[in-house]
Amino acid sequence: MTLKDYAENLGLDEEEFKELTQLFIDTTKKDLEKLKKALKNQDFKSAKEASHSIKGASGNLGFMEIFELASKCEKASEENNFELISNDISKIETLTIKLNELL
Amino acid sequence: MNDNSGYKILAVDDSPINLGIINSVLSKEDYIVFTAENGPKAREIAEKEIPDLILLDIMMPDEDGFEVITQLKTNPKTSGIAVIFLTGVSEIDSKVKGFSLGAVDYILKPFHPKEVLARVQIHLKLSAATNSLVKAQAEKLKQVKKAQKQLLILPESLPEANFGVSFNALDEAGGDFYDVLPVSQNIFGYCVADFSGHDISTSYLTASMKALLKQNCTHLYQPQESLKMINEVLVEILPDGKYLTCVYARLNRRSRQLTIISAAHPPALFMPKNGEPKFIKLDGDILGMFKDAVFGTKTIQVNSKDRIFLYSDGLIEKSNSVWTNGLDELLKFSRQAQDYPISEAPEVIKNLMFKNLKGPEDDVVIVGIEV
Repeated sequence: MTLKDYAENLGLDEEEFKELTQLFIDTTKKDLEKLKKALKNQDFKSAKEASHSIKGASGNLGFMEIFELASKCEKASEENNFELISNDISKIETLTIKLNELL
Repeated sequence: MNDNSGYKILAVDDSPINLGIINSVLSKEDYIVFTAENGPKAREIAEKEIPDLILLDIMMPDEDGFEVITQLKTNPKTSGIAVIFLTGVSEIDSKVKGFSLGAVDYILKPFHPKEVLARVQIHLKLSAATNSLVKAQAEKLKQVKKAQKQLLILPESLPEANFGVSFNALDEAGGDFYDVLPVSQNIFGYCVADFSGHDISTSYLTASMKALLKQNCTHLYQPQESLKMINEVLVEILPDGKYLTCVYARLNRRSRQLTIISAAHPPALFMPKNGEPKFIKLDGDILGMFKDAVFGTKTIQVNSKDRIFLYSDGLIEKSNSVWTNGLDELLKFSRQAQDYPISEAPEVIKNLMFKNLKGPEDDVVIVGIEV
């Protein structure tokens, strides 16, 4: 899917959507840093907040793959289970880089 | 042209991306959009801008959506603003809690911008409909006040009765009532009544009272009989807890006989042209409560230019004075008003009674009669 397709799905202009995507990439980078740090410190509360933030933004922009992964991370943080999270984090990172290339 | 211009929407979400989406979809439809990334900022904007609608995220760090709506609803300035929650699918309990705190709807996250737009439009329409309902009801109340005033006879439409009146209804449906009616060529009836409560039913009842006076205060009946019959009808038609106090004066201008009858009403003031004014104090039950009510009555001989004042308790009951003080003042001020024609005397007395106050705190009616 191109950014234009995403934009049309939401009924937004392509330019507007590009701006929002750029904002998404910037905030997601910060959230991923926070998530990694939380993982290292076994800080479940921060991990939940960071994954919740990624989940909300990706879902509303229609980035469903990222949304699913962030949902998994959020649920795992709630259950204090960090085992699978690191794998998901790197997947989210890869997808975010791909998004950046679309811009 | 778009008719959305002017509607203000406040979006509250800690995610700048969500705010960006909402802002862009609503701005495109000409809504004025404000955004806030946290609760305190949201409350600040809400109080300043009074938006028509607030879209409020529940899950926010520090002050969450529940805290925000609770504060909005307890602030009189913002309590009337419709709030729609933005909530995740996993937060079932929060939807229920949101409604119980006063939200009008919720939007599930992730949301589609078009759904946000549709819900915003629906809720703006709903509040517009509610507002117009409120306006329509206020308009109806104004009509009631107008109709009630039209029910009240003016001195110029019955000059033979030689009376003056001062009438102040405090709100849209006042509880005070007066009427003057020709019983026969030389006999006139004057009535002042005060219903308990000030509401629409009171207003309807004043119309009933006028009809009852007309039907029962005829040449054939003495005032005692008239009031007894009126009482019996009122006992039947008045809602529970509703009653009235009333004073009725019947003046025969030919024989110069004045009969006063009272149903627990403040005493009528009799001011002979030559002599000391005095109150005609009568015992009596209230009207419209008991079938076998008894009313105090007195007949006196009057002379040309003597005056009688009937009034409601709003005249003598002031928050800064007691009843007896009110009577003393009334006695004093009615003397001061003696040189004014009867058409002006009631208004003069009212103004003197309330000269140190902003105005009457209750409905006030004064009817002045000159023989």
